[in-house]
Amino acid sequence: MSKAFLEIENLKIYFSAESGKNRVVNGLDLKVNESEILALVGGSGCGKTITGLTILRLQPPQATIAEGRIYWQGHNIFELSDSQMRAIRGKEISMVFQEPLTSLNPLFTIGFQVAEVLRLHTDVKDNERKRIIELLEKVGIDQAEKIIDDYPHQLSGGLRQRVMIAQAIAANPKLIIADEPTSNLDVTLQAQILELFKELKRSLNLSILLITHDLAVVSELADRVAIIHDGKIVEEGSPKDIIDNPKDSYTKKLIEAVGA
Amino acid sequence: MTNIPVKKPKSQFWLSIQRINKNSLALASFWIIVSLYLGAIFADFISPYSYDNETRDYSYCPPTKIHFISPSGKLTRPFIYGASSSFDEYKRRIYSEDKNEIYPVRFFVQGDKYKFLGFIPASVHLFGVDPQARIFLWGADYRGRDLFSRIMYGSRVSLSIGLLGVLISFFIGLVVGGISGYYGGKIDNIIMRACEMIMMIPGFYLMLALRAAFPPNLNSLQVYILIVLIFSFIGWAGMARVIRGMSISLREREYILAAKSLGISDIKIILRHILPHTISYTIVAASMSIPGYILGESGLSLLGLGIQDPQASWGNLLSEAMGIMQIKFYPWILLPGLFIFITVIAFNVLGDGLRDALDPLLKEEGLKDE
Repeated sequence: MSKAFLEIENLKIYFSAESGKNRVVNGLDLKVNESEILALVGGSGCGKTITGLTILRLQPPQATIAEGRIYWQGHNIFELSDSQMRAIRGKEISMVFQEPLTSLNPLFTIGFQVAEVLRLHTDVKDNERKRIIELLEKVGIDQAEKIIDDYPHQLSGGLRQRVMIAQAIAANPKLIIADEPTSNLDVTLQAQILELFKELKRSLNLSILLITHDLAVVSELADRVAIIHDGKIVEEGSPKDIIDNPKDSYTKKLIEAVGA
Repeated sequence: MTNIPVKKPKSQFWLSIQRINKNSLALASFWIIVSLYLGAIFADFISPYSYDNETRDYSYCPPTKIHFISPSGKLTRPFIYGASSSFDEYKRRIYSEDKNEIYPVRFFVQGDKYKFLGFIPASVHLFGVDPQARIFLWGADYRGRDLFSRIMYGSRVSLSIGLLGVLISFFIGLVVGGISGYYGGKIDNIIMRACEMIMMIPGFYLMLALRAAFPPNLNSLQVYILIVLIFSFIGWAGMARVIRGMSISLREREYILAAKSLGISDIKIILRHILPHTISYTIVAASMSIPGYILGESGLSLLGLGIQDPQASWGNLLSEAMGIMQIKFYPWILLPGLFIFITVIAFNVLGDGLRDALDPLLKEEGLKDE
C-alpha cells in the first residue's frame, strides 16, 4: 500500500544564459514511494543533481522553473512559504552531498554541527551530547566519543561522509536525497556507505532518493531504478529488469559502459 | 593493538600566535599598545595630578629636572628643587630652580581624589611631591596643568574612541556586508549603492559636516558619544564592501548548501557559517583602521569640534601647539603628537604582523593579495 509521498510532475527547468535558454530538466516525472530506495541514474549534465536540489527548492538562482509541480505528501512545494520550506528541510527531507571534504564547516567541531540540526528540529536539551553520540554510532562511527569534539579536517573522507549522514538523519526525516554520496570515496568505503544506507532504510523506515551515475552501485542497493537522460526519465523499473533487458538505447549504452 | 599517543594537531590560532611571536617588530608594537592602554586604564593612578588641576603661577613651566645627586655631592633618592619664576623683557615667565628648597619625589602619595577604575574612591598616586612644590615630568601647559597627567587622561579618550569606533562600525559592516553578499540581487544593489554614497564624500569633511549638524554646546561625554557615532556612520561602508565580496565567494561553498538543506535559517547561516570565515581579515582590518579613528578624533579636537577643555584628549592637547611661538618657546607641548605618532605606527605595524601571521588563513580565503 505504498502511496507516493514524493511526486514530481512534468518538471521543466531552464538555465538562462546569454546565449538563450538552456533546458536542463525537460518534462521529468518521478515518484518516490514510502520506504523505498529509488536510484536516479544518469550521466553528467543530465539534470539529476538539479532535480535533487529542486525538491528542496535549493536550485541555483540562475535556474528557472518553467513548469511542473513537486508534491511532498500532497503539498506542492512551490506553493509553500520560505519558512514552511525551511521546516521541511532537514526535518522531513534531508540531503547528503557528494563532497564529504567540503560539506562540513571547517570552523566548527562535528559535534556542534550535528547539534545544530538537533537544536533546530528536535527538542533535545539535557541529553544532547548523548543523542549526538548515538547518532554518530548509528552511522557506524565506532569511536564517536573520541571524535565528537574533532574538527572536520581531523577526520578522513569516509568519516566525514558518515558525519554528514548523521546530520541528515538527526531529525528523523522521511526522505533522504543522496547526491552521488559515494563518488568521491574509494571502493571499500563506497561499499560500506551503501551498506549503511541499506541499514538506515531498514531501521529508520526511510525513503532514499539515490542520485548516481553508477549502475553497478545501484543494482545492489535500489528497490527501483529510474534512468534519466536529457532531463527526462527514459526508463523505470526494478534493477534486475533494467539491467537484464534494457529497452531504451541510452540505458543500453550505460550498461555497456559498466560491462566494459 | 598498542595505543600510540597521538599529538593533537596545533590549532590554526596557536600557529598564528607562534608566528607573531617570531616577529619582533609586531610583538614590540603589541606591547607598546598594551602599555598605552594600561596607561589609559590606570591614568588617574599613574598621573600625579588630576587633568584639571591648574596653578596659573606655573604657566608653561618647563619639565622639572629630577636630581639624584644631592647638593653635597652624594647619591641620594630622587628629588626636585622648588621653582621660582621671574619675567623676562617680553613678560614671559622664566623659571629657575631654587636650590634652597628640596622636595624628595615620593611614591604612593596622597593627592587629588579620583575614582579608581571608575568606582573605587581613591586619592593615592603613583608618585608626587609635597604639595608646596609641583612636579611637571613633561612640563606644563599655559594654565599650569601637568602635561604628563593630561596626556595620560587624554589617552583614555583617544585610545578608547578608536576601539569603540572600530567595534561599532565593524559590527555594522560585517552584518550589512554579510547580508548584502549572501542575498545578492536587489538587496545587494541597494546596500552597495548606499555604501558608495558614504564613501564618495571625503571622510574628514563628512565628519565636519556631521559634527556641525549637532549643537556646539554639548558636554564632553555627549561629544564623545557623538564622535563615536559619526565615525561608525562613516566607517562601516568600507568594511561592508569587503565583507560583501568575501560573503559572495563564501556562499558558494558546499557547506552553505549543506546548511541550507538542513533547514538552517539565513540569518544563522550568515552569522555562523559565513561571517566566522572572515575573521582573519577582520582582525587585520580592525588593527589597521583604529589609527584612522584616533587621527579623526585628534583632527576634530584640534579644530575645537571634539573634546572640550578642561577634558583632555591628544587632539585637543595638540591644539595648544598651533602657534609657532608656543612651539618655539615651549616645545614640550608637542608631546601629545608624539603619542599619536607612536600609537598609529604601533597599530599599523601590529596589523602588518597580524596579516603575516594569519597568512595561511588569508590564503585559504583567497585574500592574500588584499
